[in-house]
Amino acid sequence: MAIISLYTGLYGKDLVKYEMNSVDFTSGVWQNPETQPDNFDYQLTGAYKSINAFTSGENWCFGITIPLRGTTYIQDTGTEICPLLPYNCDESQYESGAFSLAAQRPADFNIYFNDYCTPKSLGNRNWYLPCQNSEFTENQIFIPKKGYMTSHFYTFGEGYFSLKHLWTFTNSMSKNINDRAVPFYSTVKDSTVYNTSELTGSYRMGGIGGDSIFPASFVFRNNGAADQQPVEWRGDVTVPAEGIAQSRVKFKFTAFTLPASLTVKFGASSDGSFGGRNVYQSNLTMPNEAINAIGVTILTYSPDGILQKAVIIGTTLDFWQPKNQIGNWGASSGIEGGDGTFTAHSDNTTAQDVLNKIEEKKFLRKNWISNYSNYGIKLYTGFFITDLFRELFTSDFINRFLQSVYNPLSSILSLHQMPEYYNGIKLIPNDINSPVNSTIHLSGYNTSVSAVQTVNSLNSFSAGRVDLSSLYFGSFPDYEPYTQITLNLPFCGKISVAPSLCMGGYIDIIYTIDALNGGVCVNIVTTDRNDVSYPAYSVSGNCAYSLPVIGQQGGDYLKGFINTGISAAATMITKSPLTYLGTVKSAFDTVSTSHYTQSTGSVSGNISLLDDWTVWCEISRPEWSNPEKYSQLIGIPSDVSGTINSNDADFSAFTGFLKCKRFEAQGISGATDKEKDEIEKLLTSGIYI
Amino acid sequence: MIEIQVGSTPDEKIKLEKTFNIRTTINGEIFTPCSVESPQLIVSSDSVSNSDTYFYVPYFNRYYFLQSKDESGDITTLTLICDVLMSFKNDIRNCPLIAERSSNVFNGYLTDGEREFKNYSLNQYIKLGEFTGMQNWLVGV
Repeated sequence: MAIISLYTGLYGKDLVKYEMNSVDFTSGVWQNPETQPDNFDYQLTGAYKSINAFTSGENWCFGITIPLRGTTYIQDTGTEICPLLPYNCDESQYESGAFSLAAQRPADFNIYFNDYCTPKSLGNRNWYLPCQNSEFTENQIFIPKKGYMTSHFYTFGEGYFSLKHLWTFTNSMSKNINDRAVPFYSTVKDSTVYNTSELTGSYRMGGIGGDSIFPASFVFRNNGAADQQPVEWRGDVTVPAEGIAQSRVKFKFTAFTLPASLTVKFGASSDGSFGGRNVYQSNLTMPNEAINAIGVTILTYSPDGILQKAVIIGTTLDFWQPKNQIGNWGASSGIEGGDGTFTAHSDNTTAQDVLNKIEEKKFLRKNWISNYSNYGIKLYTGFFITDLFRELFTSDFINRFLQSVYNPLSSILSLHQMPEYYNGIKLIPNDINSPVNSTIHLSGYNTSVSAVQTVNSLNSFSAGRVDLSSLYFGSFPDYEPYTQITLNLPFCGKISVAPSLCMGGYIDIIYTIDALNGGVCVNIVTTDRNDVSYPAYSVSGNCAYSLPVIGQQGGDYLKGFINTGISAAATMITKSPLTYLGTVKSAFDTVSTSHYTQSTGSVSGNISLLDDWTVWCEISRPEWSNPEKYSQLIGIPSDVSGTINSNDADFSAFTGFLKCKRFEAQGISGATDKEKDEIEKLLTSGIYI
Repeated sequence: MIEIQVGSTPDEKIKLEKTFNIRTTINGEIFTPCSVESPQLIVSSDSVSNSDTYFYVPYFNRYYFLQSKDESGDITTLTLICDVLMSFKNDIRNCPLIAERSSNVFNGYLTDGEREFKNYSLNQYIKLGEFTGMQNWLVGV
């Protein structure tokens, strides 16, 4: 057994250590709702407390001791708080992402992390995460999901730190039915109680070690009251043809009242014997008194969230969509509104591990991001531009002579400025692998201009998440063409996002900036109400303010020098050496003022820099006129079959206003044809029940 | 001679199951020939009042609205029209249907053409973040 230690506290002060529940790391519970990793996720749950009050703006940091397999060397720099590097890890096994904690420090949390360092052994190590400096006000700490500690952005004095770790920090990883933890191998999602006669739970089917088989049968067990025999229902479930590892099942229990508790078992055989496979079992406790349920609806999903089949025990059910707004929405009292809140939600977006989400969806491979250093390209900052130009155009004879035959200006690829921070996070961090006191090295020419070498690869970060999980109307006006969503993306412009892709879900915005030339690419990842994520949009732009790269025509410069020098040389014989030098020096001075024969760069003022630098989302919604007795007197579109006493969707009776598309009265005994026609006419024009 | 229950109902005609406030039960004759959907009944004038607008005839096992009333001395002829909803309410409740609009069983995501929208919209702005500062000069070599 191993021990997990959690360190927390204020940056620069003594850290407080908390011992967490130890977990046997030879096994674990898979809790990743997106993909099933090749290796285990180690789950650790517990309550987190800190004796230090945490307020916005304060530095906050924590670390964790992760017991890992093996005994590899641990790097510990002593008292200085800095991250530790893993050794001998296979970099390609890791992914990274980032997300932010909620504004409120969570009271409890789960920590999940993958041990991808196989077969290498790493041993125990301490991980520390120094947090933001005083500029940071959003209580954000970027803790990527998985991965090893790659090159981190670290600048002395700036206080910014971003690490790519093995673990994920969140304050809630699963939803519980009735706040009851489900001891289940699948993640409970989307638990919604529609009314007192319904309870819906859903499970992502999954397991450990590849045993993620969608069950062919199920058993529902009504545990009933203490003095009652449990009642079981058995039924068959259509197994999706492929991708069963991530299949999802929803259960909709329909009853006049629900049983007190229900045990759900899954098996692989229709006779309920489960064929020797693992049985996933959960106890669901319903909020109502225990009587027999009258039916269960099972909905099965393919891995990409497409509803496969709906099956109900005892009766057949037409195919219906999940989250159908069926219920006592708008009773005769005239109270309108479904699950829409009719309130505009507050600005509570948080950045999460969107990079990892993109990674998992195979839309943006980390390997595609190029590192210019692989090609010998360096990027410097932190220098005085006047120093650089003065250096390049020095009046020193020797250097200027060298410049005439080997023009260092030609090695300048870019010279620009660009925005420095996003939400307090430095966009282009310095490269800690470079010497602290560096000078600018041009190709074949070393200047004495002090500078700091920066990371020159593409840098991606989350610009935020728009939370649309709370619907405004909870009905059709939430979508196009009624509702419109626009994103303002600095340096790229504005784009419209289709509500159907994100309403009830999220919009994640990921910026990727090329430090070398200021190129900007923005990926928009939408997640809809069924948790289907999609990289819906991408736009590009540029955030750099460039100076022209003066690529001098070396030949012209040299020519000018030679011509001047020859005339000077002609008098050389008759001149003293000092006079000669002075003459040639004069030639250099003359040439130096006229060697700008051609600019090969472009004057780029970059008008986009004058645009709004704020990433924001505009949601334009209609306002409807909502009479008090609207549903009572005119009803709401239904398209549900059945009878007045029992509809086919939830078996409740129609009440209030009812207008039928079709009503079949010909089977009424004792009524004349004329009366039957009259009945059908009335039902199709609308009656009150 | 047939029995007729006379009274009134406060409910609308298109209500399926109505409240029948029975005032009294009277006797009358059927004016022949008549149809069961719209019978004519002959009653004594003093047996019906002006408030009697709703009837039940057990002989026909149907409820009726008062369509017209013709008084001639001591005789009043009632022309009735069948309330098919109330008369066959139990059967109607079990007839198959596809609902088009309903007060309580509906799908809010079906477009509702009856909805009225105002000419202006509600605009919401959510700020996600901001670029700030200007990086020192960057030179790529």
